[in-house]
Amino acid sequence: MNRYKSILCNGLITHNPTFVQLLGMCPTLAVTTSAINGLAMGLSTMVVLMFSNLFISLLRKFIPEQIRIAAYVVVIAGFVSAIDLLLQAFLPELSGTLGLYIPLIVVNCIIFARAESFASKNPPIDSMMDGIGMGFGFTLALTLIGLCREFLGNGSIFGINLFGQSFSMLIFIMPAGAFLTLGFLLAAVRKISFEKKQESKDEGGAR
Amino acid sequence: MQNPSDLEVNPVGKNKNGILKPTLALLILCLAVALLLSSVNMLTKDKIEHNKTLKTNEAIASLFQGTFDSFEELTEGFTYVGSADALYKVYDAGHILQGFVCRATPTGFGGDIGLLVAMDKNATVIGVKVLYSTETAGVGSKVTEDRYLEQYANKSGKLVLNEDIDAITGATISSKNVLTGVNDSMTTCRSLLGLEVAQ
Repeated sequence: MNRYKSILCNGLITHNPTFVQLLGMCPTLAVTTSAINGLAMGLSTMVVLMFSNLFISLLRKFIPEQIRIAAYVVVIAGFVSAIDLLLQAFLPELSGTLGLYIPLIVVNCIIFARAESFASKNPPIDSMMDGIGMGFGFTLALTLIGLCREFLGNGSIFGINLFGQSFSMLIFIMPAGAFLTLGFLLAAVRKISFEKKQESKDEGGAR
Repeated sequence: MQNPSDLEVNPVGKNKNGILKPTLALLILCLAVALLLSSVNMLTKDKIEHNKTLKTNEAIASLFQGTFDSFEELTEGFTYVGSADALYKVYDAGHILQGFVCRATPTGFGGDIGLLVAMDKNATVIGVKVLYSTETAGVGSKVTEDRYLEQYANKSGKLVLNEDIDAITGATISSKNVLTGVNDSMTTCRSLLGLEVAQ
């Protein structure tokens, strides 16, 4: 149980894919124009991550090392395409909202990075946990960025307007604003983790 | 704290000389995934078509508000203008002509915008619905909202941006393109009715 907890914490905080590993920057910047978009993309990626990690881990003994990247591409792209078709057929409402993001997930670096560095070397349940942890961390990061950009750029939170139509700094909804928001949040996260490290050093405890 | 990635090492050894095994493995994997995907496709193909038709039906029904029962695609007796690509007659339950619906796909700022324009028997707009669009979220996407689309109700003739219809601030191109789609729809319908193109 402890092992699973540490894997989850790893993905959520210590090795957060967005703020620590700086993976999947492209969808992060493109999709976070509002909090709900960020949340939706994060959760979809988490589902894909969970299963792709699971499948790659199950197949890890059968995939020869030389072709592993090609194998990951085939498994992940095939899996995501199947999910896309199933969503369009059986959950059309959800597909209408998320439809744009699903194909983007295939090229998300996080999926490949975790397949390569974790799922190909660890048992299935651990890999699935890692997928959930990383996915959660990603969702958290995206929602946070989306909240900031939506609040500053549109004066709303999750679609609820707070100040009426007049409050908006349009730049935050544009790509430039994405970089700005990400940059500042990244700096804030680094500062907090730096201060935490100083604290634990001062207490004399080497972890 | 145990590093999770040290738990197990990939047991498939490095065999730099063998080419048969990796090739075979990749072939089998690709075959398996292709098989999976085509099964899923077969399973979902009809349902997806059905959903698309359902969506169009719903959109037309909501535009005609209760008087809609069936529609019939027209294939002759008119000319397609600009971005218009389908024209339908709309009937009520008694098979009496209620009006027309034109589908237009103008190119927006971020890609095509799929429009359905409902018109009465004189080619005056009843309402406009956006079926799909990929405009910038929060900016161009506002042209899909009722607040913008409501303006088109009861309009006819050749519409001009910022005279007949107010554009969305910061989304001039998206607003203009929806306007073009509506204009094209009205002109197409007018060509069916034998009316002159408004200037």
